[in-house]
Amino acid sequence: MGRRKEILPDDLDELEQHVRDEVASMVDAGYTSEHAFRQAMVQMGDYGEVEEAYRRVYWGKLRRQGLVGTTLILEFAMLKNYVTLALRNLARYPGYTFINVAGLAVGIACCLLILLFVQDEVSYDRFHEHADRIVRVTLRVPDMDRELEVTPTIVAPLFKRTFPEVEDAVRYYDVGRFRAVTVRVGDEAWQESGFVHADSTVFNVFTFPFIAGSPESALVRPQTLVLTESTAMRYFGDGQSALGRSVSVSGTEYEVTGVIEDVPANSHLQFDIMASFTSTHWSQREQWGSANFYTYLLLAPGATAIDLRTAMKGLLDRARSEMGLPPEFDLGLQSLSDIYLVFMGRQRFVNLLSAIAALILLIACVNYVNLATARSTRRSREVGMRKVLGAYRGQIMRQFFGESALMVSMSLILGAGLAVFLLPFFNDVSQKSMAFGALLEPRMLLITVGLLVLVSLASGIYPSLVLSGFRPASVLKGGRTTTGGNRRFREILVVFQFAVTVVLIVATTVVFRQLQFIQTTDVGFDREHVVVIPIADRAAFRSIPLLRTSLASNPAVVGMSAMTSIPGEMRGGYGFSTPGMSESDDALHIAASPVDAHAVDVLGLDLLAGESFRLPPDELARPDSANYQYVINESLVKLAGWTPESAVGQRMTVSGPNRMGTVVGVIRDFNFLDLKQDIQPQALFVEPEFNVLLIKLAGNDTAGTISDIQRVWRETTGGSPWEYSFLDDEYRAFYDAEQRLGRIFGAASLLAILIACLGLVGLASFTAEQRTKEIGVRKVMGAEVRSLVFLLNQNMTKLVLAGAVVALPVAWYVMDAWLSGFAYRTELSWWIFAGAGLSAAVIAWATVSYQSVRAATVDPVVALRYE
Amino acid sequence: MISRTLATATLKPMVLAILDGQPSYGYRIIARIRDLSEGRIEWTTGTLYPFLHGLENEGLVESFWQAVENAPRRKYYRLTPSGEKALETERQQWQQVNAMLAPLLAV
Repeated sequence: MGRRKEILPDDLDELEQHVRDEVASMVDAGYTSEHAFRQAMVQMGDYGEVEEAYRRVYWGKLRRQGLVGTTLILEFAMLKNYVTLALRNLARYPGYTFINVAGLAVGIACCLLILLFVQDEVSYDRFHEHADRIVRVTLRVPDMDRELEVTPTIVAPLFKRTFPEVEDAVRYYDVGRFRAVTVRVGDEAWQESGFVHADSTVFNVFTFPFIAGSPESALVRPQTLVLTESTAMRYFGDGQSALGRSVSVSGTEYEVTGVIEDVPANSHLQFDIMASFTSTHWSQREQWGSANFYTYLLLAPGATAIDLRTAMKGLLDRARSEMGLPPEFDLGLQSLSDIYLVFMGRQRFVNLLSAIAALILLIACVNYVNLATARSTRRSREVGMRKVLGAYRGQIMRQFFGESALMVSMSLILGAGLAVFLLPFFNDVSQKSMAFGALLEPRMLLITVGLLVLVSLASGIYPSLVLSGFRPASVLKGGRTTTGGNRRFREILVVFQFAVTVVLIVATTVVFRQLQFIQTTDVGFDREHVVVIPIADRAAFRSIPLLRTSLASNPAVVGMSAMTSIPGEMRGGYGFSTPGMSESDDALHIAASPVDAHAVDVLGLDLLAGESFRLPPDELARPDSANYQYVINESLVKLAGWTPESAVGQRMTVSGPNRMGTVVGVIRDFNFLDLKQDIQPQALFVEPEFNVLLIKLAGNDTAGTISDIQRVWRETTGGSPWEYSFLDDEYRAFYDAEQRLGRIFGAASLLAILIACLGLVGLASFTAEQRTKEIGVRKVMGAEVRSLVFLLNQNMTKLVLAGAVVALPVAWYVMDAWLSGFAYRTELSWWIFAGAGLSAAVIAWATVSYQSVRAATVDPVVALRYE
Repeated sequence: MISRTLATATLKPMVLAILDGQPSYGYRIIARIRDLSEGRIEWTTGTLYPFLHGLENEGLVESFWQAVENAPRRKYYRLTPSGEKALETERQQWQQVNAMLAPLLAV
């Protein structure tokens, strides 16, 4: 009957008091309370009649209380009754409501932001009309445990000719991956790193909408190119007038034959200028060597990658035998949707973030469950009365679900607001440019509603089960019930909350320590005060000697060296061999990098034996193919079976007869790749294959020196594009992903602690309230405030420490796995774990103490009068 | 046992009279009726309270809440001035009915 709207909340109080009086008087008269209770229920009267009686006076009552309007409105609202009840209950305990709503709102805000992030990540490359039919061909390299995304020139045309499963194919060559190019329009010049070549079929396979020009003809002829809209704007001021105009790319004239919309941010292919593949000399010949090209296939409708893979087998067998390809040579296929997420390794990050969001939300739900069950004694009377009045358990459960759904809805609104507010910061951290509008897409709305339902269920199900399970007789008789199981469950949840918190604290600490380690570890080369300038065009390349003489007189410039790539990115793979090795021996796979003769000095590399490079007569000329100079690292010395001393003077090559030469010096190993990788055998050799210029400064007045350099640069190069960065910034940029991870972990653990503490405040105030009488008695007997606070804190402290104990092995396991991704890593010291556990305990202790002190300082007289 | 029709007819004067000059609450009112009728009139909880609420709607009684030790608050009822008037009317009517019935039913 408690569900009947005709019986108002006040009426329930009145009826409850009645039943109590009745039971009390019957017990006084000698009946058992069980009997008295049953008698009271009989006294209540026939259900139908009672309902009818209340209904008759219902509207009069509302009129009297001026509630007719409100009630009428609610009549039309869905779940009106539950909403009224829930609102009333929420308003009755504002502190409790605040803790829950605030915690849930923060958790939901977190979730929404991460949902946006995940949505953005999984939307990669989905904008192409035929996205589900596009695959990329990969090259399987036997030595490496991963596939290379580059393939030989022959693959695309051959596959298209041979396989009916392949509707179309495109080769894509990313020039920007290797170097920047200089684009000139009239007198103006730009340095562009987004320059690519592609077959004209690129627009059949991919969907890049045209603003001007036509996709059929745009990239057919040699020396034609397509600009993105914003690039066309930069060059010509608007998109339309670009068509037919001429631009010069690193000295070659191209005609603009199309303008397309800017490439969406969520595309793994990124470019500003796309030139026809026929402009390149590779287009002349289809060959199996020189794998530098991305190959994308558009599968025929109905064909699958599996079909094609089977079909490929025979062709590859033939190619291996006829073309003399190595037996390990193999090609693979990747679906477009996997490229970004799986192949580019984003899936792990996405999973990690989702897990963090789920954990934070879970902590917030735990708060709700804990507080709701803790308060259950307060509400047991209400439940008891409703049951006496004939409410079914299901109805009471629905009421509590209604309350949790309402609370979650409020939190969702608040959380959405919070997420909107935090989005700019989150974009900054995640380096995305997401707009909140994405959340309003039907799919996302559906997910959001699903989230709402899920959270309501997660937080509502246990409390409603517990509360609806109260037995009215015992509730009304004793006034309160506390089931032991109930309390133990709450304690387990608190332990869980703090376990998660401690894991997050440990993770944050370890990530930051590793970042610190990377920053301070000795990588074997100097990266302070080194300016990096890209060499984008021939003019800049040719002016290197002049630049060197001009800067020699500047005391603020210590040295200058040109090279292929900066340390950290010296990835070039070469085959090492010596004249002593027999013909049948394969060349050994090593890393090697072209530099100029000044590299050892400017990078501050340690020479162990021999000397640095001798200066060649003309630093822009290729050395004679038999007179190369090599400086090799210790690892290569070991690989070759030499000693540093014996290595000097040895003949060697890194690519057969083309680069025969002599070892002039041996250097201590330095980290020419990032710290995730071990140092491999490496050779540096002098060859004018320059993409970057490194200038080492003395370190005083950096800004002034740089503007001096810029002036000299302009004079000597005759206006090549000027751009610069610092080597230590570039170095830091290698660890961008880790930096971001660190910040996200930091924010997540902060939030987790915050929400968990909110929950603790609620629990502590509840416990303190429950023990008011006990505290009063203890005080009367002479207990001090200090010992009372200790008493109240004791249990909470135990729970938090238990959480830490649970968390530590998990944290150790997870962070050990993460650190194993680094060849150079910080140690997992015991104090990180101890510190994390201790700080969680201290924070919890401080939180709880406030409530405890308040409870302990209450005047015992007041305390004992309580209830 | 007194018939339901008759009991219903007596309910209004009874309640008003019980409340005359002395506020009371539901349980006490039911108990009092039970005592006075020596158990011959037994109102169920579910009938009496709505009836009180009806009187309240009519403006004959008004209610107020009183804190109770160790239990929920208790709702008291007392007569309003118009309730007192209504009680006076009831009294006159019952006296008339009584005066009419007494000689007829005299043994």
